[in-house]
Amino acid sequence: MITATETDTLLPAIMREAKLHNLVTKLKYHAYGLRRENNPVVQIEYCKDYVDDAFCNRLASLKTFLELNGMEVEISTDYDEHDIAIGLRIDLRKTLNPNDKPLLAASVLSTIVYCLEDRVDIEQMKKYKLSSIPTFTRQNTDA
Amino acid sequence: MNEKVIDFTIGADPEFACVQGRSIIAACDYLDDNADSDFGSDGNDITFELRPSPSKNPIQIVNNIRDIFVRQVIKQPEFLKFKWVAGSWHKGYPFGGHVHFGLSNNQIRHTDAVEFLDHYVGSCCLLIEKQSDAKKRRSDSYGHMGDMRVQDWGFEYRPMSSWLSSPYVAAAMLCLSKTVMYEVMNNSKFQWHQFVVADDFPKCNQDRLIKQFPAIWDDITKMHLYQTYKPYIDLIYYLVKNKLTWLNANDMKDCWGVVDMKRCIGEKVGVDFLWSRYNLEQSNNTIIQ
Repeated sequence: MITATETDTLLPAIMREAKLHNLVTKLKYHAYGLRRENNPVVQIEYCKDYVDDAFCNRLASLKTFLELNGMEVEISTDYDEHDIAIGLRIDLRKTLNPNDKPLLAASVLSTIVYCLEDRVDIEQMKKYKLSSIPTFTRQNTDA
Repeated sequence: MNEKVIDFTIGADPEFACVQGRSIIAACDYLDDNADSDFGSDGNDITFELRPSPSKNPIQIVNNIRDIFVRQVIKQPEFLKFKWVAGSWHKGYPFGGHVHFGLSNNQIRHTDAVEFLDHYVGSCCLLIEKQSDAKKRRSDSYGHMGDMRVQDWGFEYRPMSSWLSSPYVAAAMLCLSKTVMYEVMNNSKFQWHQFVVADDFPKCNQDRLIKQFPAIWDDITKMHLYQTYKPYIDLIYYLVKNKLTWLNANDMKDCWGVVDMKRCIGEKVGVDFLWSRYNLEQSNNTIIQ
């Protein structure tokens, strides 16, 4: 099951476009919004006790794919819940296609879930370069 | 309704058992000793206990319960070979369907809240339980009138037996619980009535309660959230009017649509499949401010 924080900007629309509501999953996922300041484009948090080694390998492939396409990822194992928390930064969520739909964030979210569920070809994914991705830069406010 | 609306989360920890042939399966033989898992065992080590995430929306809790079942059979497919049973009692083991309310004692005195629940939720529950099992469950200290437990997050209403027999029954009981408590919290002018007495619980006094049911139902249908949850709550009316119990002829896992999930999780897709819509419309992305 994939849930989302319904009150975070555009997340209900992203969930709708990602078409993940009825996906049967082995793990539990929760998507939420990250603000711009001091945050990566994507943040994934999980607890090591609830996943296996193969999960960590898939996560490494996912990181390769996202970074190849200019999306900085931070991964944290310092999380004590059973679910996998997926943070999507506001500028990623606010990137809309010509029909005003957040397809970029929806595609990123579905790629994360499919990859971590072992339902996507990860060798193909590691080399998959998208041709049109906006530039995402981190905004640091630390002195 | 009062001017300032008070909404609150509800949750639950319903129980059930797995049966193979004539034997009841011990939960402790199949589960890790992990108290914070959402699929766990009750204190007796025999019955299984679900701990779905709480929500303000009772239907979300039903979805959360099904998700726990689905993930469990993916993790341990051997659960599919057992018969799953809920209700009030099975082979010496009582099953509870406790409902949790995220309301502090400052918001409402818990003893008062439980009294309202007894007259409207407890009464309906007694009317659709299998009477002989309901009596057995309540022959000890379980499930009596006013049975509740204070918790850090609010309180736990404990008289109900396990409504896990199907998602329809689960939705009906959770929606009714939310509807009654929402009315308590938000409508100080509601005309409340008293229907149950303490003796009704251990005796599962359906003959007496069935005479009260038209008045109970009349009050329920006047509650603010009834219209919102009517499609779910009306199952209770149907069961009571037709003198049916919440148990059904089918295995509980069939009712929840829990089947072998291998086909659902086995198929892999190419990454281009996941990005096909984005790639089709890739030009002219805009970032809104």
